[in-house]
Amino acid sequence: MTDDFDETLRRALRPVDPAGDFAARVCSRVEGGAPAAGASPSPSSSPAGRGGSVGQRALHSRWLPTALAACIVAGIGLIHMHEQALDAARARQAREQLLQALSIASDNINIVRGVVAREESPDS
Amino acid sequence: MRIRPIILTCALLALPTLAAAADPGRLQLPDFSALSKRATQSVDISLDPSLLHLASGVINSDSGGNGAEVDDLIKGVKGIYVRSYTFARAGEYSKSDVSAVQAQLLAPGWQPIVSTHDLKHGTDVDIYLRRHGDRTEGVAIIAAEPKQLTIVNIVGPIDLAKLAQLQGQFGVPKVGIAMSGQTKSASATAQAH
Amino acid sequence: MEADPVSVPATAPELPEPSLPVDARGARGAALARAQRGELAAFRELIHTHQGAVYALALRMLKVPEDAEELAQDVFVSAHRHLGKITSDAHLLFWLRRTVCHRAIDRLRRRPSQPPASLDSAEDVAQPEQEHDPLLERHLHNLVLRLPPVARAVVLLRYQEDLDPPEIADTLGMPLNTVKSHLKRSLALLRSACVGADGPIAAGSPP
Repeated sequence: MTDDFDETLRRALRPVDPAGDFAARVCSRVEGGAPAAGASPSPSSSPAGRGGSVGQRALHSRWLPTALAACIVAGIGLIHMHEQALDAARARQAREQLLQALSIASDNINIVRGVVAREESPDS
Repeated sequence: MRIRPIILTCALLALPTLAAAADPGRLQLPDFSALSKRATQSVDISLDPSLLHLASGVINSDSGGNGAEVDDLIKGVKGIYVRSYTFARAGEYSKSDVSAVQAQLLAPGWQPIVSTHDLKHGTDVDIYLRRHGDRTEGVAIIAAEPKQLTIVNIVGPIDLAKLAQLQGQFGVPKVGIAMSGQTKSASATAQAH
Repeated sequence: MEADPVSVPATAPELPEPSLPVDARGARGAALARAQRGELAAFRELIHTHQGAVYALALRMLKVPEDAEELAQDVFVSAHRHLGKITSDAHLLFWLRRTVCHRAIDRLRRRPSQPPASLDSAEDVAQPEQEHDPLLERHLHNLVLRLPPVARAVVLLRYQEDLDPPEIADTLGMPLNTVKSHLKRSLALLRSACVGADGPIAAGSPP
């Protein structure tokens, strides 16, 4: 019974892989070039058909400036997001370093306090 | 024409003095790259005011009370600098490596507040405070044992009692850079804070 | 030099090699050596090898997939910074498990207490394919997520990661007796609750 239960628990708790290409997201952060978290978006759908008709060319010329402006805005947004992501990464790193620095200082102070406490103990 | 290089050189030489004047609690830590190369484990942390502000913002944004404790502890702190090296064998560093730091701590303003010496294990831990009137301008900790050297400099006021209580909190395991064999036969020369 | 809150001991703990064929162990060791020389592709292999364990621990501790993703990424990014101090693949796995558990427990301590509603999303994401008794496995899985954080970490390290109690004690930095006590109490709670109790399992609730 116990073995069955243990085995059932092991099956219930098998490792689970994260979604998408997790390794790629980590490597992007290691190289410093991607946002902090979040699964990668699904691949964009393939473009709709290609054609050379006059109507499509007119459509193309009408919407091209708008599309270009949108690309520029999106580009600026991406740069901003990239900088924000870098700032967030720097902030997290600074936090980790702060906690470690405080831990090291705390450890050494406690060593001294322990020694002093033992020296002051009447039994020492 | 030759005056400009002289002025520039004088300005560059004066920079550390100016920095020291601006932050009297800050030690000028030497270049320990030679020690780092020989160490099996190194910690090199330099948090200036901007990085401390950055770190504080991250801690503050987390919910719960512990972030506020750390933020409260480092309020007013202008810098935290840590150099810590662990070696495979004794004798990989010498007193002369630390003498440049100790010389600064002999200067007026720095007071030793506790000094523990374990003759049996060759372990020394010294804590210094720099005060100006009632205001703490800095804390320095030098912990030297045969296979490990640690120097901590905190610039600005910090509550040492609260700092001591942080040990083991925040899900941060007690750092592996711990003193070994330091508890016996030590003699304190002054009261700890 | 950058530092991480979870230190890498100068000497690796005496760790048993995972039960893998010699070729696989050798391959992992080679990937580690290449990653330590700076080959990102090799580090990517290491991520692939260990991402299931790290992510699953994060997810079952934090119960929110986005938080688990962030924590798992943070852990691997930290591991990359300290690769030079890792001495073997077993050492790396020990370090990864220890870091993810400690950071998850830290985050949970800083979170306000949450209602068990998030179990639904955890259920959908984390449930492995069922081969035997799917209902019981699902129920057990949800019950584990309701354990208090430290007890949950102990159970996950035992039954997800197959560590024995001394290894769990090393990983979490707690006494062996504490680990055994957590395991004994948690398993008793899980067994008795398997008949279908609702609500969070409190640490002190009777079996």
